[in-house]
Amino acid sequence: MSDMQDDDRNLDAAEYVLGTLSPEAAQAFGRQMRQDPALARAVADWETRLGRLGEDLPAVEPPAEVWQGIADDLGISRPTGPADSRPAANDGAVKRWRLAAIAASTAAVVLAGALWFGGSAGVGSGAANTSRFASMIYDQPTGMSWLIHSARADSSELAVEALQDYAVPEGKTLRMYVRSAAGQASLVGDLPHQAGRYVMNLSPDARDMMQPDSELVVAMEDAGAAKGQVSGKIMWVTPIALRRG
Amino acid sequence: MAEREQLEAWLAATARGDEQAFGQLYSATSSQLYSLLLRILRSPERAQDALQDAYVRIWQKAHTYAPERGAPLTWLLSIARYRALDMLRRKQPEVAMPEEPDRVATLLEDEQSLSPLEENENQQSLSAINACLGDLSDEQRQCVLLAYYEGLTHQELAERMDAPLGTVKSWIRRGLLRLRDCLAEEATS
Repeated sequence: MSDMQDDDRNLDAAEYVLGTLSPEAAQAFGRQMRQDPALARAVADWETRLGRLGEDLPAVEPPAEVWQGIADDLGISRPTGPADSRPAANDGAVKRWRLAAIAASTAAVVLAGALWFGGSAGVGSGAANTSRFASMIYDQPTGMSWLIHSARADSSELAVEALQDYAVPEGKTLRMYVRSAAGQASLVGDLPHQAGRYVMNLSPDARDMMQPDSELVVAMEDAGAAKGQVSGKIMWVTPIALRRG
Repeated sequence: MAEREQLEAWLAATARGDEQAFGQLYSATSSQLYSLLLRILRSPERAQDALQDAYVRIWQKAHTYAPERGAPLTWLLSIARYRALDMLRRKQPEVAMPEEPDRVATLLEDEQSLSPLEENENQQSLSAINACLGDLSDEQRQCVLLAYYEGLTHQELAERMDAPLGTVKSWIRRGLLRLRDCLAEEATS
């Protein structure tokens, strides 16, 4: 087999792992792989290569109910083990931006955990028995994170914390929108990109669209462009979680 | 005991039916898997369902994990990610994504030799992939990362990036080729 054919098969394996093959192509590849250990090895190699990307995300504690569901499914009752045995995502020397990513990730874990699962950080945390929306934007290459939450589910104010500075080209701005499950988008405003805490006011439309099945969309747009619908390059899309209590 | 070795030990014990080890494995790794699932599925409820399914599968298939294939966390993340992709493509159930990691493991169990990638796996740090991602063009890197973290298909990538489908396919394949070659160079340097 030629090098070119080898490359093609290897890249098919990569796309199989990545999940970008069409359903038909993935199915055909799966059949080939079952007959060809070399292809299976190529898939395993790509799982190893790309798997490191999964280790690069800030950890988020799942709710305790997940373990209970697993235990119920398997008919086991053992409670979870010690929580301090979590493996580090990295064990070697890293470049500057990698270090920044880890620093941001660590902070994001603590703060996101507090926001999502009952902590006390942020605006309006004294309100008991209310529901609030929370979200986090994470830029994998730079490690930049924004923590976002509302004082209450019906609040017209959104608290935003930028954990570090994020470089935005001159003449451009990061615009944040809330997009409903139906695909309608409403402008929230310009997302601050200098480290710090901010409050953004929600329009009535945007406030109404802040629902658990909506998502936040951030696009890089011309600063002078009309504010309305998403018009620039979409940078991040992130879910909105509902926090109770 | 090093962290990788600890995870391997818990996985080995899980394969023998040790519920305590399985609980420790869950406690040590579930937050990383959940984070990835949240990123891909963009819904806490779906991510929790996928996480539950993934760990049930891990319990059932722990005996197929082969340390020489790669790090335990990589194996766990692969299982979770295939599950997430399957949920994303649920309307197209003919894609047999979740079955393949175990199929791969089974096929590899009988093989004696290790690929250069596996031989170097222990030495290859996360910094290598980050350095190599930095080597890709912006479009190539964005395609790879969006596909990995959000499970986007070719068509979805084309829409997200507002680019022709053929161009996106080319970005992905060239990006992956460059990534592979760069990682191989990093492993031998």
